[in-house]
Amino acid sequence: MPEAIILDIKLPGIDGWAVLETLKGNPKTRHIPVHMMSVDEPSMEAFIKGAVGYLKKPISKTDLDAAFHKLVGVFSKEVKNLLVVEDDNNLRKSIIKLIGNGDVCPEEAANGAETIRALKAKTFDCMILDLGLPDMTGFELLKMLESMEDITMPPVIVYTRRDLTREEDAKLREYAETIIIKGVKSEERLLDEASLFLHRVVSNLPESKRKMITNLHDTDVMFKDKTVLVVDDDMRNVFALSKVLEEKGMRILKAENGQKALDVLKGTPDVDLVLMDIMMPVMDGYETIKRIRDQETFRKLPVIALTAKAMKEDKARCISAGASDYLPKPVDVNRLSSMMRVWLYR
Amino acid sequence: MTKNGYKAIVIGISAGGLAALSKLFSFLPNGFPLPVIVVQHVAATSNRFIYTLFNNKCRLTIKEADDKEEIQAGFIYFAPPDYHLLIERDETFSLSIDAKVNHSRPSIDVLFESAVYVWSSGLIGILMTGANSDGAHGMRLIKEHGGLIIAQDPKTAEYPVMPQSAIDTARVDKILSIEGIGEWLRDDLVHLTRDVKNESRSG
Amino acid sequence: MKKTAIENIEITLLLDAIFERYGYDFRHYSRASIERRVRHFLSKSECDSISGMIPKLLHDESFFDIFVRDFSITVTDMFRDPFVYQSIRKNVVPILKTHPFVKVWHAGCATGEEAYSLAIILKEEGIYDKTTLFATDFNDGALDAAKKGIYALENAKKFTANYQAAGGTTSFSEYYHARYEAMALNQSLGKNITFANHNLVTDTIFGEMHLIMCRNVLIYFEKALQNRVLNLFSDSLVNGGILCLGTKESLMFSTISKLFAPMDENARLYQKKVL
Repeated sequence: MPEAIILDIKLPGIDGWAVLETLKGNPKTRHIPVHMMSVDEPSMEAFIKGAVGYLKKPISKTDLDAAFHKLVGVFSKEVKNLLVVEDDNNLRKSIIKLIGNGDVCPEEAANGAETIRALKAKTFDCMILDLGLPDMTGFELLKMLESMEDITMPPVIVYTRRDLTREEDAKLREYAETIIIKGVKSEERLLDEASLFLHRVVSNLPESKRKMITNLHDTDVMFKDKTVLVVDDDMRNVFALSKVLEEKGMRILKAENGQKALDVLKGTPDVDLVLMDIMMPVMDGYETIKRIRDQETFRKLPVIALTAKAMKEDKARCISAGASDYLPKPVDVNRLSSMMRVWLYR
Repeated sequence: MTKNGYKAIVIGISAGGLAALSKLFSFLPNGFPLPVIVVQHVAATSNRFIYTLFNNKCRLTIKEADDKEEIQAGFIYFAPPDYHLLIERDETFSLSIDAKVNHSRPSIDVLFESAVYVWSSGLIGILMTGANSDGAHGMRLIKEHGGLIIAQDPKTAEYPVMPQSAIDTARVDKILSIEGIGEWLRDDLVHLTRDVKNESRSG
Repeated sequence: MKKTAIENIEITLLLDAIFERYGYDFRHYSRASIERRVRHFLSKSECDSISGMIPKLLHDESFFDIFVRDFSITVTDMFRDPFVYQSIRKNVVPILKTHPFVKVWHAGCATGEEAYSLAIILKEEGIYDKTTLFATDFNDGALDAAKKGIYALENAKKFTANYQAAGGTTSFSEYYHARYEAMALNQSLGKNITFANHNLVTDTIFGEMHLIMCRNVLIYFEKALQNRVLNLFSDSLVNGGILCLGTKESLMFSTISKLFAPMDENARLYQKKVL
């Protein structure tokens, strides 16, 4: 059994993604850290599917060294570090009891200040966070942590008693992998989701993403400082896409429905390109694009429709609604890049 | 009666035919060479595990048909409640929730018609006690394609309407009591197919 | 050549023609049902043979439109198989409650009975407001009917009995009013339901779901197509998300079976494992 795997995505006759899924799906091989490599642009998919890193070819010796170094770091970590942030003592203890066993080493924090201290002292594999803290809200804490350079953010599971508004949900998605509302089945879910992070070594996830990004040759002038509006009712899609685009130097605006998209455009006239999901409730993508085109200022605004619908007539429908072009879902980052290059060319 | 190989038996019966079926099945011997497929008019909410009641008295295995299941000899298949049962050319089952036919789902006509297109002259259709005319058209179709059709003698049926409508509209080959049908299946049919099976193996 | 063999060829040609011309792919549907529907449509058309319908389908778009709308009519009930809805209430709803917002997909919703049934359950369990339901079908005629939420009055008794058997907490009559010969469901039930056109054979993922209900749709597909669709569902579900199939359907023979654990096998409720 190998101790680590470096896996090329495009293997002759075999799909590297399928290999990764098989490895992660088999209990015997699930624990082996896998580092993906490919000529393709890096995407969230690799990490979502369980890879610990991504190398974009061509790969230099330094790149490889860094990858090996990270993998070695993985092996020497015998215990997984868990940080539980919850002001209620009893609840905090019960969470630790639920998850912090065996190879998991739990630490506790009852407020924002303690959390910051803990994160500065150590790298964690997972953080469970309550939103109602005595010295600041969970939102404020997350925002603060994100901006601190000397802190490596672990994957965050928000574990909260109260219902969230859509705005709060959207804001949280930017920082948290998972949000769990406390209830009858929530412990089961908490255990499952935490295991995902604790037993897949991803403490370096945010860091490796950043490293991956600086390895990119893509300091493409075409994208730098351009403003893109991403419209999709699924906030996860929005954030996944945003992260990829932000690394190209683009400024991302987000809207989770057609009406908000129209509002954003009204308030920000210098949007360069719109990515529009078609299947949305209340006002679908077709309708939204038509409304955008109805306005003189936006007649020539590049709008790329993202659609799950694959028949010729569906694509024609996108175009007749006024889209500049369309891309099938799931979005291929390479194709998106080429298409954006075309439409951003002035 | 032609010497073409008989390939399957389809049976239509109304609600309340449990006793009749039980009696009929008791005649079928071990190694009965044809699969038997039954549409019984049952309420959508009927107990689906009622087949276990049969299994004591019957030498063949009784089960509810599953979607895409291979049809084999040695089994008696029942259409599941609230689904139509159809036969594919590769001799597997297909289910459907299309509209009721003759106020019924499962409908006997739907099964019989579907079976005709797969087994044509190799098909034997049996219509038993029942309160509506579902199945009459199917019986006629089987006959038109060279298959063999048997109606339960209405005089022996708890509800004579169904077998009677088959007799009225199709040239039924045999009209028998339940015992009569059972004996025919056990004694006469088995001999027929034995010759034919050898023939079809070499052919 | 036997008549039935010729008809088989005709049907293949007809399905190919439809695919080439319009992109609707019925070629991998379970053949027996297709044949039945084609023959039925033939008897209502003025054509003499199955292949005789082909030129008309190719050249006359409105004829094709009627064909598609007529072709895929299924009939189901609200709360069909009440024990399944009971199981959803008992096993699935608590899980949905742990998510701040919930997305449900009714794939192949036909005339909407199931989507409205689930909507009632979500309302009674207090999570309707935080749920977005997508009800999709490739048949626009069915979607139009589904949006209206109007059903034949004669169904009211059956629906009522089913609703009660499914654990309904009030009177079913709270959810509809009788109008002429029809029962019209309350508009409020449809508030969070988005009806949209989506074809399971050709289209891809449009979002990430917590619950996917697809009951008695897969039975119309051949095995390979069933597998395609099940993979689509698997890809569309969050970790821990739930898939609900029809009581005679299964995911055991598909390539995704290992990714799911049975939550209630009888009710055909499966949960996607969190890797």
